[in-house]
Amino acid sequence: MEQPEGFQVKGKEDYVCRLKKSLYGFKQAPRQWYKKFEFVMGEQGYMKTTLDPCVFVK
Amino acid sequence: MVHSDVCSPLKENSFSGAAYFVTFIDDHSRKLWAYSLKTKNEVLEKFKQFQVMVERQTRKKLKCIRSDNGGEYHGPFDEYCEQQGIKHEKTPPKIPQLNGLAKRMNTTIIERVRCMLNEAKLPKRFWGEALITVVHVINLSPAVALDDNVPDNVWFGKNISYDHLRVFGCKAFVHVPNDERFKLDMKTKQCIFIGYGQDKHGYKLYDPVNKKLMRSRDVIFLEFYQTIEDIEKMEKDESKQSGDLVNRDPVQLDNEHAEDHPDAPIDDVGNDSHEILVDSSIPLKRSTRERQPSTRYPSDEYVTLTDEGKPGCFEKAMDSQQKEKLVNVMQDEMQSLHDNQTFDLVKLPKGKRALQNMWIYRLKHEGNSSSLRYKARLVVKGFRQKKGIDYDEIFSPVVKMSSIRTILSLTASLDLEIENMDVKTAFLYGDLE
Repeated sequence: MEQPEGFQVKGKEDYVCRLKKSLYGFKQAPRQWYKKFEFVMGEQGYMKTTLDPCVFVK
Repeated sequence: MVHSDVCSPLKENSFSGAAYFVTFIDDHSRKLWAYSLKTKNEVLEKFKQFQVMVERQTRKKLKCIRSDNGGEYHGPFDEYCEQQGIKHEKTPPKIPQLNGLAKRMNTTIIERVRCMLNEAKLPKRFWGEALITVVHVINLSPAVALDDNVPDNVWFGKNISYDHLRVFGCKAFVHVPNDERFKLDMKTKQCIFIGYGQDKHGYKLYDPVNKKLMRSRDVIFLEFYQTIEDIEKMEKDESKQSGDLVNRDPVQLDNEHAEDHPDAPIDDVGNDSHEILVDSSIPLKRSTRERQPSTRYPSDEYVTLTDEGKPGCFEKAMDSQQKEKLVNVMQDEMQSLHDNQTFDLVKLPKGKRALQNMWIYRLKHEGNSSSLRYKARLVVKGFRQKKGIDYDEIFSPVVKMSSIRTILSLTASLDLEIENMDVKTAFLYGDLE
């Protein structure tokens, strides 16, 4: 991604941002959020229900 | 196959002097045509007109017409059908049920015309215009016989548009063309909407002041609560008002007149003062207009727009008076991106392109207090992303409504408590692959 307007690092104007985390506006942003949420819930011992992947049960 | 019937005298002549109307209904598409008549003898003439029009438009031949055994369908009408090779099915005397389609349609038409005239508070002699409008609307309405398809769809074989429909009898402002008015004349004329122009070009309108029918395409409609009665009432109020003014202060008007038109002859002070008065009533007319909030933006955004506004992009933000505050909130956002380790700086690899991003600014009302808080957020221009390069799958499951209902009802029946929470900037937690 290009460097944010107004916050270019001096001397590195031609550098770009290699993204590790999601940002608003990405097409895949909602999906990446869901993956994260799913992972964290799994860590906490919650199980997805088969009928609704958005309901987690412990 | 066409069904036809003539409607009995309406007692009140339309503008063109007609007192009857004849309807033709296409059996296949259920499309309806209506012609107003001065006398019943005109049925044959109108039928010929109808036949030529239909046959030319569809390149098909009219084969059969069904009518009741009325006198207007005897004699010359019969002869003509015979010559043309059109089968003429006549119901036996005293059994109008066999011509039910046409009869039922006439009842429908009359009922609608009556309702529309009543609702628009128009005199009965407008029935001709109402009739045309009713026919137009019926042809655009789903028909049970067509399994809820629309006659015009079937007839024209393509989807029809409803964008041009307006409330019959509503108040309308018609644009007066440049060449028909002088500099200080009103640019619009108040009229009543009374129908659609033939072939959907423009609208038909009635000018209650000059008692004239006119056609125009440049019209603004006020579709709610405005009828001919309101306009006539307003005209009266206006003339009363202008009368008062003229009597009170003719001298001043004279002065104004002299200033505005040094060349104009002094004789038509009367006319001119009238014009000025009409102009002075513009705010009055504007105030009667029904204002509706935009449905396009949620009301909170609407508020921010009118509230001195938020800057639309980075450059505007840097130009605006709130620059300092905005720089602050942008620094906050940058800080949180750094804390979150959202990205690190690298050289752009060869053959790759960098995605663009932009700043979004928001003005937020703080709780109940009236103080405003600025917010800045860095967003990616996702529409520049290419599938397969920048992303693969974007589907994210969303909770089912039935799950929410199940949980709510469980909570209620077991007398439990619900806790809810909001994850702030949830999307920022996602990892990119």
